[in-house]
Amino acid sequence: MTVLRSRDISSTAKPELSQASTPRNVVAEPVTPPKTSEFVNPSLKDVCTPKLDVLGSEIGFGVGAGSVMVSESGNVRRVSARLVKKAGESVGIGNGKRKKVEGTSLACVNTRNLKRRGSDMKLGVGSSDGNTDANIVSEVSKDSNDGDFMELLEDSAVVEDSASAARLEFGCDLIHSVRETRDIGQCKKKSSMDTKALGPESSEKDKLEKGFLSLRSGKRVPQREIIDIRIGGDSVQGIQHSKNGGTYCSDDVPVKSISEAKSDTTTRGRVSIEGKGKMKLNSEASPSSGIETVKLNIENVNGSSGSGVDQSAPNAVLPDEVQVRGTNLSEIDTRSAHRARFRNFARRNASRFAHFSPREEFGGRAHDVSGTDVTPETSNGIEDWPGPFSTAMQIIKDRETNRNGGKHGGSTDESEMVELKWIPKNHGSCRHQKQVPSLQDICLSILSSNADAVTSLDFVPDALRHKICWFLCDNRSMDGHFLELLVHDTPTEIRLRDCSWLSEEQFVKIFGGCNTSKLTVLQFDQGGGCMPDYVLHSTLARLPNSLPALTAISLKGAYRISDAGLNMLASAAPSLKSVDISQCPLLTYEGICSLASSLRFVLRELYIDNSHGIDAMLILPALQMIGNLEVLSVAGILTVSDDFVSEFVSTHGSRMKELVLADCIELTDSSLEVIGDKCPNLQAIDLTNLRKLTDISIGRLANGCQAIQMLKLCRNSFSDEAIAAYLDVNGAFLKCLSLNNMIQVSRLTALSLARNCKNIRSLDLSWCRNLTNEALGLIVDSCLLLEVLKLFGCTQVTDVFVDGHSNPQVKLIGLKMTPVFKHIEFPDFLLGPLRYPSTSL
Amino acid sequence: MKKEDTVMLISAEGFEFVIDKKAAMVSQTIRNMLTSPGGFSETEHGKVTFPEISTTILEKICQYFYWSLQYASGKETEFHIEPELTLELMMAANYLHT
Repeated sequence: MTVLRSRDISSTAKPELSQASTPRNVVAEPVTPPKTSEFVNPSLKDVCTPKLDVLGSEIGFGVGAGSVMVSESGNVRRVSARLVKKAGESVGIGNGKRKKVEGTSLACVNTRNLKRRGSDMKLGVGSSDGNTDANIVSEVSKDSNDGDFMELLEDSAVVEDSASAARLEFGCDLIHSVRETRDIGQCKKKSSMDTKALGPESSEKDKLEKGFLSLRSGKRVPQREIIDIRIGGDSVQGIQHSKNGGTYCSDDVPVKSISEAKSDTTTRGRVSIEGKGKMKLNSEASPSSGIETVKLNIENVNGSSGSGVDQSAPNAVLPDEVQVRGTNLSEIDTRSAHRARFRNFARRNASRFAHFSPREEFGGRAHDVSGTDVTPETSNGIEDWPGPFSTAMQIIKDRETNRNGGKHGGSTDESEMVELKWIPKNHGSCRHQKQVPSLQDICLSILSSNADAVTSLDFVPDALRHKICWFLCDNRSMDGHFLELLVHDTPTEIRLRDCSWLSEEQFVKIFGGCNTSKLTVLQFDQGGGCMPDYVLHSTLARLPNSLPALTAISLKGAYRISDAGLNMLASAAPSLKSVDISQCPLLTYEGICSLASSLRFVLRELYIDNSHGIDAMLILPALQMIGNLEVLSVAGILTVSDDFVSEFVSTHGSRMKELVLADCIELTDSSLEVIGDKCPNLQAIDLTNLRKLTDISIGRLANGCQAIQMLKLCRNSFSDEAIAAYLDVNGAFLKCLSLNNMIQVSRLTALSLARNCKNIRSLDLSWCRNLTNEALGLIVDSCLLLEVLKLFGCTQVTDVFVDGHSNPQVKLIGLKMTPVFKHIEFPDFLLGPLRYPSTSL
Repeated sequence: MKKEDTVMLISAEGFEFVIDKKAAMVSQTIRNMLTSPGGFSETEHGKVTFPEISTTILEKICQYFYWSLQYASGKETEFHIEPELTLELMMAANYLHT
């Protein structure tokens, strides 16, 4: 899992390092190591004076860690827990605790020391620093072994004691983490100063030094990330390590508290040093947003760089960190306890973090969108949530921020350039090229107007039969005569999308004499008027096995069919794989249950859209009994709830290929979380009108369901960035996308569509009035396989787009100036009985 | 008409229809037959046999090819089809992907 990409990267880079540095990482977890380091250093100065500074630096560090931690709530908690315990734990932490702790303590200690001395914490600042460093070094060296950290911790604990209560309240962990950060920073300084006082394995000192040094030299810190990384190599490393070590950066939480505690001073200090765009943001935000800034930094680290930061930092720091960490590996149990605490802490404070941490971006958004009750879920989900989607979101956000703030040169340029630039190249010339009507179409039109003259449909392949029927039903010229032709002589497939013209007597007469032994597909939609239960006895369900080959049946709109009729059909057609009984109001859960029990080994697709007599929870056990279900359509069934979805998906999730949950308005993000987790093979999902869903849902979908080819959204409340991020992650496979009535869709989505959706065939952007001509032009000219683009309600579109785009085969539907097509959607006439045919039958 | 510009379509009864290559290319199937690499006899000799398409239908199809070229060049007229041919013609058109 990609909890922290950075972590993975760093860990792959230097596994042993991560090990050693775990403790440190643990503490400093912050994703934004650079930040912390910077914090450490600059804050050192600040720290020196006021305690707050110390904390600030710590916080910075912690924040970094924290933010990282945020993504892994566990970490956060851990850190805070540690901090809380402080003295008592510090020792424990030092020893057995994860390296993280130790790291923190180290940092804390260092900071303290610095503070005490009033020395400039900055790198290479005067002798005082040296002293401090010395102290730290010594401490570090002491701590190199298990005990060392403890001492450091104690030291830090002491410091903490002296520190403001505020710090304490947030938990020792924060302080510890901060300290660690400091320490790390210190260490770095020391290392620079002391040159190799620390031996590589002997103590973390060496590592620290090395780490520091390497950090300094290596500016491998992700550029995006804060400069801090460079400076606070150790801290960064620490963070990195913690990350590597798999510690979660619970620091977010603790950090926050710390920052809150002294946000003003420290943040500013930190911020100033940061100097990076993000940091700058922080600084501006500082007083109250100290945490935020930190978070932002962390975010930056986490989000944009994600891997970037980690890579740079860990590389540099890893060796040291690892070693340091190595000493304190045994904190795991404490850690879990801490984790729990951090979890609680995080839960309490998640909203604040959420707003800034990259992972919690959505949490925050969700928070905004759906209210506080979402927050806890968010924080819960966040820890196991980071993934490609959040990174994509972060990148998009960063780009937007950069665009707006011009902070990052590189990305800004990119985004500026990606700014919708589309020049209509075509000046209507290709419009003039008339589409020559194909011979088939001409024949079809003649046939449909002369259906009564057709005497036989023998030898006409099924696909053509379906086409003819389609057009005939359209013209309302389908009649008994043609139906007789269709059923004549052992038909294999009959597809009638409109049987409303058929009367009961006709039905009985025609199907009574029909040889249904080879019938594989029967589509008899809208045939309610002619199909009450008792009729089935004499027609389709004559005998228990009268439809032996029937694979797919569709009785959509058969409003007179009840449970008994359904039973009859099920017994007559024992090998049914696809059953569509939508819009059959007389059906109840009993019918479905008996259908499920008789077809439980074969049924693959079940459509019960809008059959309101069915209660979802009551049919849940029956559905779970069906072994091979892969398509479920429950559109409009209001009793479909989150519980239904989660239980259904837990049984069938791995097989599901299509889920239609349109209009099941009770569904919330938790359903999508479950779907994202458990349905990796999902190919189509319909989320029309599910207004309670927030960006979390689309994030989960992006991370979890990588195979989606058809996505239908309508009137959902996803943000533009979220949709764009989804397309960045999963757009490549998408064939059919509907963003109908998603009024927030605008530039970002358009850019993302143009960039990613190269395979898309059908796109519905109706009512998306924020899309300009340029946006649409860019989309259409980039998606060269696009066949249909629906633009109903897009009054903002003008001829500039219609005549200017250069995609020759796209059909624009729904605009005033485009032709009205008789048929917007044709079914795939070559489709077999199943929508997702598989090799095994 | 030069030999290289034409193809010969042979119906089920053996009737041979010689038409422009350009006209024959209206049918995706014939286009693939004539342009696919691999040394098929169709490519070499420029003859395509349709054992399941009858003469009347094949004749109508050739008429359609020319009508289609005419339509594309701007002259839009109506292509008349005798109703009794329609069903078979549709099947042949489906096969020829035109």
